[in-house]
Amino acid sequence: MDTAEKLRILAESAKYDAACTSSGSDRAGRPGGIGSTSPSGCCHAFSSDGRCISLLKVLYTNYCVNDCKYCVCRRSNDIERASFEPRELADLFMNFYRRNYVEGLFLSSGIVKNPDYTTERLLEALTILRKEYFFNGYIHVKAIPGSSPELISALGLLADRMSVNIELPSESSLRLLAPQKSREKVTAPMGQIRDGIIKRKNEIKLFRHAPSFVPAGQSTQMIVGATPDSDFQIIRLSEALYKTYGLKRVFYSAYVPVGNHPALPKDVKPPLLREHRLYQADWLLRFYGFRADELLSEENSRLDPLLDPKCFWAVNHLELFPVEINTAPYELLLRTPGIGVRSAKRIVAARRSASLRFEDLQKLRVQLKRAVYFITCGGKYMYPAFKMNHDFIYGSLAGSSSMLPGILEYRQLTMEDSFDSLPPSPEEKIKCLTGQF
Amino acid sequence: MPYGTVLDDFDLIYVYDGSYQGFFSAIFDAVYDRREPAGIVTGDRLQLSLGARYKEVATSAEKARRVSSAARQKLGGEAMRRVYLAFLSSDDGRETAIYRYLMLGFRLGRAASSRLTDADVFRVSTLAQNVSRETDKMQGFMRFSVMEGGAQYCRFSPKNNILPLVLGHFASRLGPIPFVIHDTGRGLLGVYDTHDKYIVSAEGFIPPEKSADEKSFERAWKLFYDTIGIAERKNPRLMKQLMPARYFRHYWDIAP
Repeated sequence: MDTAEKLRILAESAKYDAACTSSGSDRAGRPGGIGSTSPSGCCHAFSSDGRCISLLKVLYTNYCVNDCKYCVCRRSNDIERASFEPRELADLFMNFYRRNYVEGLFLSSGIVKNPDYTTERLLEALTILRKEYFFNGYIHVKAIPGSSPELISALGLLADRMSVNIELPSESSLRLLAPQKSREKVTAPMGQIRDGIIKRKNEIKLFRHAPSFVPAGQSTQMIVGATPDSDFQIIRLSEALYKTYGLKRVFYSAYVPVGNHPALPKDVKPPLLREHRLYQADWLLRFYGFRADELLSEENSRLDPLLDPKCFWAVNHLELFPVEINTAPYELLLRTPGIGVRSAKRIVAARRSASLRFEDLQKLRVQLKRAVYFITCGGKYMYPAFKMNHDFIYGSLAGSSSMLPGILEYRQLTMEDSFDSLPPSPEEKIKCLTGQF
Repeated sequence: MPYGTVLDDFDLIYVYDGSYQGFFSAIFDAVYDRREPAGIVTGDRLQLSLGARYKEVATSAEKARRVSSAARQKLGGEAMRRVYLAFLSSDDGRETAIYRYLMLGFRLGRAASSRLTDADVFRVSTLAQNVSRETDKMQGFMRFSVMEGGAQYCRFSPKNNILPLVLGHFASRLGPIPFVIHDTGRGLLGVYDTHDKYIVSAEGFIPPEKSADEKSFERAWKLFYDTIGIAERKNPRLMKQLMPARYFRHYWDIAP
């Protein structure tokens, strides 16, 4: 089998992994070596499904001894199988990299023979790249659950990012669909990588050339929609992972039906909107100071399909609004819909030199469309007749089409959802805002 | 308007040679002429207008150094980076906006940069943002071909004059590999010979032949690209929106 054919088969099997970022590492080029990394990452193309292609995302092999029901590579699945040789993969990758096709390598693998044997193959490929070709760019490698700690450490010294996939949000789902895996098997390497990163952080204070260990941190992935786990369970788990394991990212992957187990949903479309909402909630956890139990609860365990989680939180906490742009604390600005991390910082900087008016907010890149219901400038609403009213604000926000990602039609949504009254039309909204309602 | 500005009945437009040094020399002259310039432009963008006078600025390294080091001290390094990026933009009003931004900076110091509600500060920061955004996108979307002999060649035509920025990026990244980046719109070549990098005119330049196995890597990449998309999630609109065609006009054979 030639290399291109292997590439096709092994990319085919790797494509369901959502993680494809090259961010978090900051290394300039090194004399004699090839490659550099930038902290914000870089997309080199976007695939037909609109996802960023940053890394050469392939499996080392798609042979696997496990039989996880949700996975294309499960032993019982009848698909084409292939396996790279370490050098073959390294050569192909370097040729892609120098032509600027990709920003780095994302190497994962099915488990051949046993976890240790598999990890040794990955290690060999990475060693060729780092030590022979002096590749200095981004490498993301999967830690294979069940491999020995020494091998995982060795891998961590060569990679920028490592990840172990949680895959399913609850232990019971895991037991049902991935009998060879358990929560402990996944969290053990996670804990080890965390400890390695902390150790390195302490070492660098003592000696400048402490070997770098997973500088871009670790990440994980959860499949969304394969099991009945709720959004609340998922974001609470993410919150715990960020806290206890210091993860850099949790990725959510809408389940694409690839399995035939009776417990798995069949003939469903991937829940893209749900995935999108989970990412929004994830951002709120990481950058906006929200807690999981502020966004959802046991009773209300599902993210609202019509409103993004930040707007949803705000319309249910109208007692905190309106916020006065010129005096509100940064933390509250962050929680206001239409204001992001950067625009909140700009507001705080700009209001030092001049009192801000609504015209100025546009320059500071505040999304007035959303913010207008929640803010005042100099004690006044943008539209003087505006009154705080939950249903009205909910309807207006849900009605503006830009709130929804291009992946689902608005009408399609209202059919499935128990949404009592349709949101007001644009004319109605204007009437209401100008006080003629 | 600087203190002691001469007020008379004609507009004075400063004409410089297009270089960053030339631009700073023009600012130097304007400050010492004690006159708010009606415009600072390059020769090729000059439009003769009634009642305006023109002053050809002689580029002087010394003048440029004096303005830029004073500005750096007053506004800080981050602001100077922003000024440089804005200068590389293709916007026609960039020089005037930068001039006014710097004058504000000489008055207010570092506080000038956070005054985003000021039209000139806003303009400069927006232009800088555009330039840096285009640079980031280009650095991802540019594609090199390996030529006979091992050097690499890449053709592109950016909106803004970002050749110096991408040249630096790839020189740092590709270390031992020499390359040429060809800005076909401006007729410029960015050359990196593994030691030095320089920008020269592309007049008379004929790109060398692609190496023999180039086709096979292009095909392999295309194969990878076509495989990695998930059919069930297909979303061509989103794909096109994230990957505007203007970035890809030179790479149709390997890009989607």
